[in-house]
Amino acid sequence: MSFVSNGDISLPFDTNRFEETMPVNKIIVEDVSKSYPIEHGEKNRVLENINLAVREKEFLCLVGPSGCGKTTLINILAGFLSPDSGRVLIDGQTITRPNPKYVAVFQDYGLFPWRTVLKNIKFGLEIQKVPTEKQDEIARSIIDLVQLTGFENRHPFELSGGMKQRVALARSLAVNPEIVFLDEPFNALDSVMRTKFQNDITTIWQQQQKTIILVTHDVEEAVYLSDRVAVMCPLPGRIKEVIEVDLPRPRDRRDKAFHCLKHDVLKAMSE
Amino acid sequence: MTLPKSNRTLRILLPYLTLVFVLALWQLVASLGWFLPALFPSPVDVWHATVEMWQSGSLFKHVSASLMRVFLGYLLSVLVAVPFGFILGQYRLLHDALTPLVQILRPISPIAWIPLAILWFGIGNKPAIFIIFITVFFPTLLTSAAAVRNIDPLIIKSAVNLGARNRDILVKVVLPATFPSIVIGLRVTLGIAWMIIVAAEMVGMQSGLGFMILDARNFLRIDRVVSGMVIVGLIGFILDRGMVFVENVIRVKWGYQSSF
Repeated sequence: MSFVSNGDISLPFDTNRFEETMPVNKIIVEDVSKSYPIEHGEKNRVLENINLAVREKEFLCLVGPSGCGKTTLINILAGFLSPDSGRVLIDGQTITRPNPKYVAVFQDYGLFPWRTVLKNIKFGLEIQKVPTEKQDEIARSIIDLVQLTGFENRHPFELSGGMKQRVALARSLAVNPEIVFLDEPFNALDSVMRTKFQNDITTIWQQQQKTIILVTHDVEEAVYLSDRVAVMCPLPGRIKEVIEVDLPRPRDRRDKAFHCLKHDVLKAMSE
Repeated sequence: MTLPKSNRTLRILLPYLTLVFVLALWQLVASLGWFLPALFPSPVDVWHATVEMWQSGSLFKHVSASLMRVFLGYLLSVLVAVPFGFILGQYRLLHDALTPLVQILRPISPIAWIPLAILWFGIGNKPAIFIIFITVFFPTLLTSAAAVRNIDPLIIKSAVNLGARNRDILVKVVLPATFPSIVIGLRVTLGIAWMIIVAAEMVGMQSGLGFMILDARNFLRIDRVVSGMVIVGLIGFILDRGMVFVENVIRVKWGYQSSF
């Protein structure tokens, strides 16, 4: 299977979150290609004929080595870049520009250094002119959710990488997006923090019922977190295979099935 | 860092002690009679001259003339240069097109504009305000253009993703993000503007502290010359402290930590 086409929907879900509603395609990527000009008129084909369908409230990981176009794909999905050819549909609409309904959390956080944690989280709400009391209420519940209680009045420069990542995530969740794009969110974390944050993300995803697309180069992480893993390869960047992770949550990394899936993903990556 | 109490008191007192020491030294040298008193007035002489000028009302007139020129020229210039700098910082082509022009105009001493300023604006405050405008304009333009170019693109990207439109981005992102670097420039240029106004008033004005100093020189009232110089220094110091204060108020308002 080289890509998942529009109609190729099975029901691999481990939870019964969707027992009443049929999953529908939230995001459809159709034949998306993107290249950048490099020297001597040559082109660097960053993405070539990407086809992918992401279901509503699905947790999908894009996994692949660096240079396979993961970040470029996220930027196209979030509306920051337009593809050279092909198109991206979200809820049936072609995406042309960024939208607070589909929020991306970038590797380097992009926090506002002059704002405290609380004010960073409130930014999107201020823009939407949400009444102040409501802003406080939302911000407080999000701060609870991402476990930043006690850090509300700190500035980003006072926080560790992991904390900044939480603030960036909280700021995105505050505007109640339907889709959250996470670009290598665990990069700056040590392995203990990483494991904890992975569990927290899973909890947040289950509670908040978002569609999450997460970029990583860590195969174990991808298998641990996602409903499906899209394996990407470089030169040119393409989706090589989409692998269902049909394991119940909470997942056990020592589980035999877990190892098998991890092996499948690694195999797909190295072929 | 906490110092022992006696050490802290010393640190607070030290700057004043230095001033007292220098004044005492000055008084001593003046009273030794090595120089003509008319050419090397003592601090006491300078104090008397200051009181005399204050009582005649001329000191207040000259000080307020200089201050008014600096404030108007500075304010006008900042109001034009900062927005223009933002535009320049955002549009690469415009920036490239204007850079050589700006870089040729910038090294021209504001004082060199005085002949033109007087011919264009006549006698009075207008040429002085124009000189201050020129003084402040180029550095402020370049600082704010650079400040906009140096904004982390990811911050803008995040703001856009969270729904920010042009106005929000300007008010909630660009202004606070560029503030720290622009404000350093503004503080330096206010000091320069204050230096330039004194020189400009010596060359082509009929009032102001610069004129007052030159006028006193023509009457060989060196005590008044030195008085004028000391007053220029004191006001410059107060202006700088004032800038620091305003900077801090805005800093805190926008959520930056107070830097002092």
